[in-house]
Amino acid sequence: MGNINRAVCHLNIIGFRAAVAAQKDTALRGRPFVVAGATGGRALVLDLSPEALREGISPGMALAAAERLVRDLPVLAPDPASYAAMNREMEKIASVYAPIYENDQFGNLYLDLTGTARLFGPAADCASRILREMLERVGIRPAAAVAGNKLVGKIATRTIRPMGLIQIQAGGEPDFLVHQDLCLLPGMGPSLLRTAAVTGLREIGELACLSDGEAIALFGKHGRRLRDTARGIDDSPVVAAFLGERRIEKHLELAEDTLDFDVIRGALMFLAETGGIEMRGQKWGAGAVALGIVYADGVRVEGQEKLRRLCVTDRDIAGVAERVYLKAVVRRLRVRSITLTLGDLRPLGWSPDLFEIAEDTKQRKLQEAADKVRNKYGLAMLTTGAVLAASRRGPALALPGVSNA
Amino acid sequence: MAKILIGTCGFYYTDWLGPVYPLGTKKEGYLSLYAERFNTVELDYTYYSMPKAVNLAKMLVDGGPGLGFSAKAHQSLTHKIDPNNWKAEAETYREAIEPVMQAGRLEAVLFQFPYSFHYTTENRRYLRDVLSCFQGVPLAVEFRVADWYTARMIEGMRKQGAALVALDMPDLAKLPPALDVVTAPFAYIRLHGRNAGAWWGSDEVARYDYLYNERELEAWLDRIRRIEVQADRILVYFNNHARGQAVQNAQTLLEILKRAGLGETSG
Repeated sequence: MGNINRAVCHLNIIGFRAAVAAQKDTALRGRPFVVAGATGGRALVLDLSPEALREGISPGMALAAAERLVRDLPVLAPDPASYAAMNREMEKIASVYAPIYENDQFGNLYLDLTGTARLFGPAADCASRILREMLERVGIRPAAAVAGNKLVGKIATRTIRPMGLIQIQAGGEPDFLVHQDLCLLPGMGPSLLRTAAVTGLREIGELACLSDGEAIALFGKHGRRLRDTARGIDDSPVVAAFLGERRIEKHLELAEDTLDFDVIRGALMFLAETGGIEMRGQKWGAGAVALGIVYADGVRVEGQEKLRRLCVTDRDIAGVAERVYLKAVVRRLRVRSITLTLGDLRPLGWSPDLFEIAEDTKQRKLQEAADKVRNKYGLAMLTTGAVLAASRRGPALALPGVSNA
Repeated sequence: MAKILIGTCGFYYTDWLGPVYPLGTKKEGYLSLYAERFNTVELDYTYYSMPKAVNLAKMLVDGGPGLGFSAKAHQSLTHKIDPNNWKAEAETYREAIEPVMQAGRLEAVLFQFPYSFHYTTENRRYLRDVLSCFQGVPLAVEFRVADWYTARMIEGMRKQGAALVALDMPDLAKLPPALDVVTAPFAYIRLHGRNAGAWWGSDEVARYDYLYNERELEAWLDRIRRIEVQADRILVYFNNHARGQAVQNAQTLLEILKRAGLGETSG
């Protein structure tokens, strides 16, 4: 339930990328258009305008299918620079009213308005003022909800989207949630919805009524947590984290200095595995991968690659790390240690698989299975061939030798 | 820029003699005096008794050419629904409002459902059916219980083109959430006062006995500013009618909006 003392304002810009595009190019306003990561047969719709939604296009749809629905459909490439600029503007406005705010960089802002009533009036009035400022200063119209926690706020903005304002009073959560469609519940993906449908569960209130035993029997070990979510229970704080501040660092001191690239490759994969599982455990993806390399003579070099798409799996992280390594290491000298930094961490969102090509989804599922095993039996229980082979080539890569940098 | 119209829920109150109408004013003179202050009124007598076209036609004259009307749907359509007869009642009501429609002075018909009207399959079906009897009429719907406020209902209102009424009322459990969502070409706002202590178990007068202060009304400025971006017209009605408080608050809000240079405001 919402804590009676807490006031969290959730700002949800539905179709963030499309909203930014329309704000930038007024000719797009009122027209159906989509944002897609690429063109051609396998490209998928990443985002779309409300008008495109009305034409039957949906996020995750194949671009070719979308183009069949709307003739001469404008297709825009993602514009990360504009998204970042918009985020900075939104954060400027948020920071005036909220001592703590959380921004996932994709059109979701959580503002902790707890205790600000004396300064800015009741939370709903304050939210209204924030919305007006966003409209007047950056031309963006989010849906906004004031609630006792982030979860209820999120469901509330999904209820009223694409825009508007709603306040869920403390204690009013059960009445508000009871008849909402289950698909509005964060975390309810297609697979869980299918499971729910089999037993006739359609509304959040029906899920909230399940006993512990029923929830576990139906949804497995996460059933109870899912049931609690349906009850509006969420104690997670609004985390003050800003662009570029989140990062995970893993450091590996090689047991023996080495020039053997197969060993280095194994080391990079090992760092990717240790950093990756920690990152995914927090439901982040990396927007940048950096390496710090120390040669045998103590000289340090660094390299970094910023990514257009979030890097999630160990394989992806290691692949980027290898590229960075090859660019950064220019001396023919043995390497003593490597530090891998996963930076620009951003939330993965609720259903990232919606926007991925089939190959990615396969890799993600494989990664999830590997993570399950490692979380249960320990990291060393399951590793890749590259790491295993490297550790057998000599004493340089003696496992486990990784530490948090 | 949206046109913003501000008025009160009803105008025919004897306790307005003195605070609003000069003492000694005859009842027939209430409406013309009201129209000197405001450009819109929400008729509430149409809830208590089935309106007649002839009476409404007379009101068009009494109110003068500048007065627009919203009308509350009759109780047989919202509170005392007879499954066998409501369609006939809807037809009668629809015919009665025809003169106001013809004159182009009907702002909206308001369906205000009671607290006992819950989000059930049967009630949802009824809502769909009754609204469909009023094709071509601007409609507004007010619920008094929180369980109606679902994504499905909001989407349904958008499809129907009916305005979901934004409410100002006490912050009490089970009551609707504060909500500004535009679901029609026009927006409809009702301010019932915030008398939490008298909301339950008291009479109609005590429940709405509340005087908004300036700060509470100023908070509506931002809300109206945002709503006006999405709506052609915004109708604002004060229901805290005891001792003419609604009139006082409506005039204060008008002044606040005028000071802010907001839209085309008129009382």
